Amino acid sequence: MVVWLPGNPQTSHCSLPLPHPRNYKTSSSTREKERERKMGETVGNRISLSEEIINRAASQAMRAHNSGGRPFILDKPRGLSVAIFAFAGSWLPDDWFTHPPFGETKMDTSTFPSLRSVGNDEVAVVNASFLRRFKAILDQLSLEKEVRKVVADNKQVLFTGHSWGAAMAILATLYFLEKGGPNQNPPRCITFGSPLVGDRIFGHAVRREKWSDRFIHFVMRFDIIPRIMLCPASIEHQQILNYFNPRSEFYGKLIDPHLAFYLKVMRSAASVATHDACNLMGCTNPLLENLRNFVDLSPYRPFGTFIFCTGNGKLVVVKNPDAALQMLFYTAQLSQEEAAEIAQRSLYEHLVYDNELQESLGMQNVVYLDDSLEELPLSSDSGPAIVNTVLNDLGLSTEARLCLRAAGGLENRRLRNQAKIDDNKQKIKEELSKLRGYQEKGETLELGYYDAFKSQEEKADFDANVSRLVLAGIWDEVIEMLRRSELPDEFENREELIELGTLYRRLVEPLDIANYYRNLKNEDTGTYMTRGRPKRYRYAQRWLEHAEKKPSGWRSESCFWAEVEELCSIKTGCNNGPLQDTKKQKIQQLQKRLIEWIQDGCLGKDVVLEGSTFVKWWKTLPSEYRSEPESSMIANLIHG
Amino acid sequence: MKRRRMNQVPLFSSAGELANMLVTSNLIEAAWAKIPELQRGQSALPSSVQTMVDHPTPKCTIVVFAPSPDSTQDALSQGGDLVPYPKFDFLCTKGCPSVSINRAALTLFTPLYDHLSGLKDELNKREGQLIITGQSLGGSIASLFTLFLLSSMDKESKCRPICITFGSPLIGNFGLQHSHWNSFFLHLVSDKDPLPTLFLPSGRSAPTSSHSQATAYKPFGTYLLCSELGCACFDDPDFIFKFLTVASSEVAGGLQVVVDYGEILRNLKYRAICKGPRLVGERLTDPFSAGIVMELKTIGIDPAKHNIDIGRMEKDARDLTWKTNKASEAKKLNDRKINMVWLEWYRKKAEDVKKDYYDCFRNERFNIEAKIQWHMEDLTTYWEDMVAEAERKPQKEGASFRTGWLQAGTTYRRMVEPLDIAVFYKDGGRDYINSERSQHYKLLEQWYEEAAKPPTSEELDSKKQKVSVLLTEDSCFWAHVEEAILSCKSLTNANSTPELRESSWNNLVKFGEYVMEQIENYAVSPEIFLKDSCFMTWWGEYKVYIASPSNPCSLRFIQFIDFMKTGRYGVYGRSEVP
Repeated sequence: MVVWLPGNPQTSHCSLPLPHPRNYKTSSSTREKERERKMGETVGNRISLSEEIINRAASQAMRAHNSGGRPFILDKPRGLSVAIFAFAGSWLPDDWFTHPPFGETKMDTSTFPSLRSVGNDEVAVVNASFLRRFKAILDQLSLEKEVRKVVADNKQVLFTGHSWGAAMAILATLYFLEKGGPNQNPPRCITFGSPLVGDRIFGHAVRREKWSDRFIHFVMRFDIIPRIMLCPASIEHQQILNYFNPRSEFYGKLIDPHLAFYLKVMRSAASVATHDACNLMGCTNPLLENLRNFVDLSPYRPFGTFIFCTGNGKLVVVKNPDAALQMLFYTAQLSQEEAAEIAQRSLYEHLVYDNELQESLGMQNVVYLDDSLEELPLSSDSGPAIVNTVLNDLGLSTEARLCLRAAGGLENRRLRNQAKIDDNKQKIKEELSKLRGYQEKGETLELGYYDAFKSQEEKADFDANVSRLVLAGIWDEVIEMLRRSELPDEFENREELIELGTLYRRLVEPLDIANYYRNLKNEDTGTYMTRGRPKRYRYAQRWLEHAEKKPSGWRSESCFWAEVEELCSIKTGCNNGPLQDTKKQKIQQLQKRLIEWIQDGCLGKDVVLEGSTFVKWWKTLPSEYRSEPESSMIANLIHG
Repeated sequence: MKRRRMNQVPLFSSAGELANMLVTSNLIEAAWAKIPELQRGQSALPSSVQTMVDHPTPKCTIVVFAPSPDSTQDALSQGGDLVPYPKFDFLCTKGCPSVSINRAALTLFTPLYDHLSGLKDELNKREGQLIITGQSLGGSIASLFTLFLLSSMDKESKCRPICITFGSPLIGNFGLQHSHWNSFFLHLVSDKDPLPTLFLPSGRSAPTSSHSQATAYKPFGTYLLCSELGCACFDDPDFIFKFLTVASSEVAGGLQVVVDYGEILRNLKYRAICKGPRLVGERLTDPFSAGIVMELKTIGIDPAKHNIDIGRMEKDARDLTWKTNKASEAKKLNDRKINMVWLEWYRKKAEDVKKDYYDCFRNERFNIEAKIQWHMEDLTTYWEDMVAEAERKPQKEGASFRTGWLQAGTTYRRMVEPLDIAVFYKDGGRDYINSERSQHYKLLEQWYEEAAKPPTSEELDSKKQKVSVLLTEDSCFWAHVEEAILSCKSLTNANSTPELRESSWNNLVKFGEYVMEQIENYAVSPEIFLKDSCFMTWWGEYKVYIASPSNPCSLRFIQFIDFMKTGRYGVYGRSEVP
C-alpha cells in the first residue's frame, strides 16, 4: 500500500494495517457456504460496474479535484460504454458551511420534487452550500448540454467526484434521476471520500424512489471528510480544510499536536451514532425524548451503497444506512496507543483513493455485510471467519457489532411489519367489498350511501359503520408505523398499496365525513377539512398525488361531501358581500370539479341521486351561483 | 444461553449508548461548569444556599443551587429520615398516599420556599431550555425545585426543563415511574462518591434514620452511573437501588471527599470515542445479555456476584417495548370504537321497538345479549386499564392525562354501566351502589364531576332540545329504580315490619325527589317513560299505593307525583314543550 501525505514525509510509515490474511476456512452449514459464495462475488458484479470503470472513475475524480476553474471534466474512455463526468473540488470554507452549526437548508422541491417523505410530508434537508454551488453549475447550462449529448450516444452517464466534488456528483445524479424519462438509462454515481450531503429524509426518499443502488460511496477507514458533516462548524473544521487546501499557508501542515480536530469530529460523530443507536435498539427511556430539546445533533446521514476500504486491501460493502452511520463512527474509533497516528491517517487517507482501490479491486477480498447484519458475530473469534477477519480489521468492538446488529434488526422488523400489513390486504378487500355492496344498495334507494349512512336507520348502516371502523383500525396502524419509520422505505412507492389506498379513500372517506357531520362535530371542533380529517386519508391522497406527480390537493375528490356540507352551512341570502363572493366562487369551482371527477370515474354517481343532500342543496341554489355549461351538465347527470 | 423465539423481535440494551450520547453532548458539561463557579464565589456571601440564574444564550437558562460546606454538613448531621411534607402531596399516587422528603434536603429547602416560589413564577413565563442543577445536597434542592416547578406548569408551557444532579442522595418515598415527569431528571452518580448512598441501610447513615425508613426511599428519573471504565444509564428504580446498595458497601473515603465530576466527565468523554473491548467467546449470541453484561461490568457490577437476574431485566425490557408500541395502540382504540358501535346498535334496536335499552337487556329481548356482553367486557378491560394508568400518575399530572379521554370514558360509563346493573339485579343482587359498583366507574364519575361546570342557561336549553338523543347522565339511575321497586315490594308486603315499611317509604320519597331533579335538569333520557320500562312498571305499582299520600311531603316530591299523574312525562323531551 502506498501511503502519501503531502508535505509531511516523516509520518508516511504506518504500522496499523494488518497483513492480508486470506481465510478460506470451509464451513459445514450450507447457509454459510451460500454466504461465502456471495462473499466471493466481485464488487463489479455486485454493483454492475466493471472494476475498470471504477478505477477509471477514481483517477478521473482525483484528477478533476484540481481541474482549475472548470466545474467538471468529461471523460469518454475508449472501449467503455460510459461517459464519466468528474466534478472539481473546493476547500473554501464557504463551500462547505453557510452557517453554524450545521449549514443545512430545506431541499428545493421545485428542482428536486421527490426529495421529501410522501405521507409524513416532510421536505428533505440538504447542505445549503452544496445545493447553492450545484445550482450555479446547472445555471451554466454546459452540464445539461453535455449530458444530453452523451445520452443521445447511448452511453451510460456516470457522475463521480472526490471530496467536495463528490457532493456535486450526488446532486447531479439526483437531478438527472428526477428528470429522467421512463426509457432512459438512469445515471450512476461513484464517490470517493464524500462528505455527507442530506438528512434522514433525503436518504429515505432516495430509497423510496429505488435510486439507492445508483450511488456507490467509497470510504477509507479513517478518512475524516466522510465524518466531517457530523460535526458543527468550528475552528477545527477550518483547520482540516486548510490542511488540504494547496492555496492555504497551512497546506499539508500537521494541524495540532493534541489531535483536537480529530477528537472534536469523533465526539460529534459519537453523539450522532449513539443517539441513532438508541433508536435502533428501541430505547424506552423517556429521557431520550426530552434530550432532543437540549442536544443539537447534526442532521446529516449516509445513504446509498457504502464500500469501506479497510486499508489492507479488503472491501466491506454495506447498504443499510443505519449500519453505514455506525460504521462511520466505530471504524474510526481511537485505540489509546495509536491515537496520534490515527489522527494523521484521518487526513492522509482522504487522498489515497485511487491507489487504494487499484489494489483492493485487484484482490477482490470483499465482504457484503447486509446479508448477515443480524447474525454478525459478537465476539472476535466466532462466526464465519471471513466476516470476523474484516470486522477485526476494521477494529469493530462488541459494542459496535451490537449496533450493527440492531441496524439489521430494525430493517428486518420493518420487513416483518410490511408482511403483516400484506396479510391484512385480504381483510381490507373483504371489508371494501361489503361497503361496495352497501354503496350499490344505496343507489337503488335513490338516496345514496352518504345520506343513508348519515341517518343511521338500518342494520346495513350499522354494519357499514363496523366495516368503517375495522378498516380505520388497519389503516391507522399503517399510518402510525409510517410516522415512526417502522416500515421499509419503499413502502409508499408500492403500486398495490397506492391503488388499495385510493379505493379505500374514495369509498370510505364519505362515511367518515357523514359521521363527522352527523355528530355535529363541526359545531364545536371546526370543519372536517381543517380539524376532522383523519391522517389515513391525508396519507392515501398524498401517495396518489406523488405517484401521479400531481400538486398537493389535486386528488381531493374523496372530500367532496365535506365541501358540500360546509357550503350548505353558509346561509344564502345574507348581506355579507365578501362571504357571498367567496361562496359563489367555491360553488362554481365545486361544480366544475364534480363534472371532472364523475367523468374520471373517481367519484360515484350516487352523489347525483335525487334524494342526496347534494342534489337537494343544488336545486335550491339561486341561478346566479350556477354557471354554464356546468349547470346543465349537472342537471343532465341528475336526470340521466 | 436462551434461544430467541422466532416470533420475538431481538432485544437490545441501550444503557451504554444513551450514556455515551449524554457524555459526548455538551449538555452535562454546560450544567457542571456553573457549579464550581458558584461554589468559588460562596465564601463572600453569608447565606447558606447560593442560587444563581444564568443565561448562557438567549434561549437557555441555567439555575444552580450550591449550599455552603458548613450548611451541607449541618443538614447531613440532621439525619436521613423521611419527614412528611404535605406541600408536595401533588406527587401522591395510589401506591404512595402521602409524600415524605429526606430531612437533610428539607432543612435546606424549607427556608428557601418563598424565594423559590417567586423564581418558579418567573421561570414559568420563560421559553426555551431550562437546566436546573446542583451537586450533592445542592442537587437535592435542584430536584425539589424542579418538581415544584413542574407542578405549576401547564401543557402549553414552552419552557423545557431538565434537572441534572451530581452525586445527590436519594430524596423521598415517592416514585415517578409512571409519570411523564420522570423524563426531566438526570442524576450522575460516581461509584467513588459516598454521598448518593448515604441514607441507604448499609450506608453510613446518621443515627436517627431507621432501617425501615431507609428502604422506603425511591429513586426516580434516569441515573447515569459511572466508573473509571465508563458509564451506563438506567431508569429502573429497583436496579438503581441495587446499584447504590452495592456501591455503598464498596465505596471508600469519608463524607469529606468531594468528587470532581468535571474530571470524571473528561474521562468518560474520551472513553466514548475509544475502541471498546472486543469480547472473546462463543457464548455471546443473545444481543440483550451480551450488551447488558458489558454495561454492568463497565459500572462495576458483576451479575453473578451481585445477584442480578439478567433474565428478569430482559423480560422487563421486553414488556416495556411492547407497552410503548404506538401502532398497536391505534388499532386498539379503533377496536374499542367498534365495541361502542355495537352497543349503540343495541340501543337503536330497542328504540325501534319502542322499548328502553335497559329493559331489553335485562329481559334479553333480542337474543344477542351474550354478544353484547362480550363487547362490554372488552370495553371494561380497556377502561379499567386507563383508570389504573391515571391512578399511577402523580395527582396533578393524572388530571391532565385524563382530560383527553374523560369524555369518551363518560360515554362508556353511561352506556355500559346500566347493562352491568341489569345483569346484577336480574341475578337477584341488592344494593348495587354500595356492594357491587366497580371502582373504575366510581373514579370515572368522580373525575367527571370534578371537571364538569354547572351548565349555563343556554346549555340547559340546548340540552332540552337534544335530550331525546342523549344518554341518561347518572349511570346508576337504573340501580335507583331497581331499589325503588324493591322498596315498593316491601311497602306492599303484608309481612313487612313497621320499621321496614317506614324506611321503604322514606326511600321512595327520596327516589321521587331524585327523579324529579333529574327531569328538571334534562338529565334522563325520555326512554325511561316508555311503556313497560322498569321505571314505568314501578310507577304502575307505586301509584296505586300513593293514591292518597298521608305523610307530609316535600314540594319536589309533590311535583314529581303530579308530573307522573298528569302524564306530563309523555311530552318530556319533545321540543314543542314550553
